[in-house]
Amino acid sequence: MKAPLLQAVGLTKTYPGGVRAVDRIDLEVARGETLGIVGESGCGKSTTAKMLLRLVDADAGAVAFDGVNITKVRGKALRQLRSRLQVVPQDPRTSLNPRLTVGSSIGFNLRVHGVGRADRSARVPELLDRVGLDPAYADRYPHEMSGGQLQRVAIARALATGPDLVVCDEAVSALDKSVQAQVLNLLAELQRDLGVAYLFISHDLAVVEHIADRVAIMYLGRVVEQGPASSLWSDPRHPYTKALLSSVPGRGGARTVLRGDPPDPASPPSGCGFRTRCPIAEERCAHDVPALLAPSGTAADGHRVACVKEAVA
Amino acid sequence: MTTATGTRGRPATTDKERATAGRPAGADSSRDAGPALAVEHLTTVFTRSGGDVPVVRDVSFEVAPGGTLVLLGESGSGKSVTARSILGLYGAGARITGSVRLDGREILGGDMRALRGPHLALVPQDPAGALDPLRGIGSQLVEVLRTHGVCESRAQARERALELLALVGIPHPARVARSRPHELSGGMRQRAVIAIAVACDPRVLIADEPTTALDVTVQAQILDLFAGLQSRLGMALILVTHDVGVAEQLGGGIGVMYAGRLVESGPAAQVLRDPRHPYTAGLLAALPTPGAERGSLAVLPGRPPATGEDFPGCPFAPRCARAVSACVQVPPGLEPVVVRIPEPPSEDGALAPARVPEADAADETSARVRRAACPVVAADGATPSVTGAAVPVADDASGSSDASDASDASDASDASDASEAVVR
Repeated sequence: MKAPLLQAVGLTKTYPGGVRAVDRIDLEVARGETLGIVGESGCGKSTTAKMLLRLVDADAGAVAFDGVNITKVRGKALRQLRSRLQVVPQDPRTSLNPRLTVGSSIGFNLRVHGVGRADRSARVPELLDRVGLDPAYADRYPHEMSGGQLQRVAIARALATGPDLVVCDEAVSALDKSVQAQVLNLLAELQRDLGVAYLFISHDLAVVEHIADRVAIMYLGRVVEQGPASSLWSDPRHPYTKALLSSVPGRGGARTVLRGDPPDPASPPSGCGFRTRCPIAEERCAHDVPALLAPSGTAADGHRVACVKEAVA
Repeated sequence: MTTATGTRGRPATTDKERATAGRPAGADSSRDAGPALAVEHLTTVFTRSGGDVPVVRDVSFEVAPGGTLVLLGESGSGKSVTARSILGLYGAGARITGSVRLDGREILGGDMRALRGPHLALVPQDPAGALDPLRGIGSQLVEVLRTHGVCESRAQARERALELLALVGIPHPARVARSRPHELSGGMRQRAVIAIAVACDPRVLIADEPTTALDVTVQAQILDLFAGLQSRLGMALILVTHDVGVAEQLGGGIGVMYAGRLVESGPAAQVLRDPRHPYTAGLLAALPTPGAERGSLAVLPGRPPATGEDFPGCPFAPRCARAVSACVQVPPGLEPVVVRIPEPPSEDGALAPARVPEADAADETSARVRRAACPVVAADGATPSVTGAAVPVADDASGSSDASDASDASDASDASDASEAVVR
């Protein structure tokens, strides 16, 4: 495997009130690849993204971006970092300034990163064209555009600084399915042409399966399983992953319907966080937090699972 | 049901009612056997100062007692407005025309307040917004039971409230009854809302995106709950969703909406496996499926017309690869399509193995007939090479138990309907 573009080790965040949103997670994203992060609400996937983007400071752990620890960078260095590390948020209607034309919004990101006026006015039409919008749209305001078009603008804005990694936080979740397909195709095309890596956060398993090379499944602030998308979908090992995949409606096959709701992150259960809903939990699950290890009987493809009943000891 | 005449079409429906009267008793034998809810030519126009905005256009469907109908569509397709128009939730700002009959009785324009609760009930998308944040769940249930006269005394109502909470799978009913909405998880809140909705044993339950705000593992629980409640209470379910997977899971009948119109209807399993209307086909093709090459999802060009936008012909024509010149001139009616691949009715539920079998037994009145609002597609089905293998298009629910019994006459009339649609 190539040296990772981004590597997070032991990342932890506890919010006031004792809510442990993210608990010692490790992640890696290689250049030009897509890492999908899947989990239900409250599992810590957005907090993870914010820590990687340095929008929230981690309590513990470190993030290396292109070999440099970025957990402590400030000021000019942080701004420079952000030109290489961009985000496409879920809802472009709230993330784009309603009083700026979309051209100005894209140009603003360039201005912040020191691109002069003349270069900006040349780059904006290029970027709009790149995401499949008529360059004439630069003069439009967000309220004059559809959700799909706005998400293209948000992508153009993220690409403006030539980033190495774009964090897509539920970037297609608010879109209608027919529009979602257009945006997913666009993201794939941009990755092919520009070699940008994505950290793709979504609760939609079908979308993640489609777009991601590797996937991390999160539950209650921890990664419970990760590996290549293909082996996770064909051979899920963690009982939560199994239940999650079988809960997708219309997928067919035997369904495992979990009992109850995810526990409150402010008072997580001892040991394995999933044991309160786990159909195969045993007494030992209450004692130790299971480590993320290679499951028994798999190829060495990086598949890891945090379950005492699946991992090779 | 049929929109062929363009007017009210009452005689045809009366015929159908007669035909369905002989339907074998389904899940609910206590009430008569016609459709629980029949919607005809429903049109909802929002009257704004800038002019009228038509949002639902000429929508017709039926739901059998205990049956299921999913209204599937993207945002702005008019699916939620259809549901809310049936419930009479719009005031003076909306002009609603057509017909909505509950057990054969016209309810449109009547006293909806008396019908909501014991006859029609709503499960909205956002349970947090549907509950009073300052009062306990139990007290809100008691209020419903007392207001509609289900329970004589307050003590009785309290007891019934606990039973209802248990019915919807809430683990500690007494504790939850004392809880305020913010103390419950999203899934538990939605269960509480469902308990309130079914408190008066409604004839028809209308659920508007009831699982959209929920996580997928909790969504699976709620979908199972609906199926269980239907089989236990015999209520019909109209579920509005944008999620193809949810539609597939629930089974029953499906109506696909686009730009305020119903563009395709039929048994969900068949429509989703073998869509006929080009919009349905395009929508399904756009979904990421296992094995689809990245970056090569099929894409529908363009976008839907803006809400209320006027178009003379088929609203989908500008995006449709199969559109012919007639498509942009005449709005197509929802006409029967000939189904080429025979499918034994027993396979209908094959995609929803976790479904409660009793719920499947309830016949879906309009769910048996496949219809599409597309003359081009209707012409496909009528080609002689395929009609030989065609399953007769049954015109009512009785077709499910004995498809072979569907009379030649009805078959012929369907064929002529289709060809008529082509001519127009």
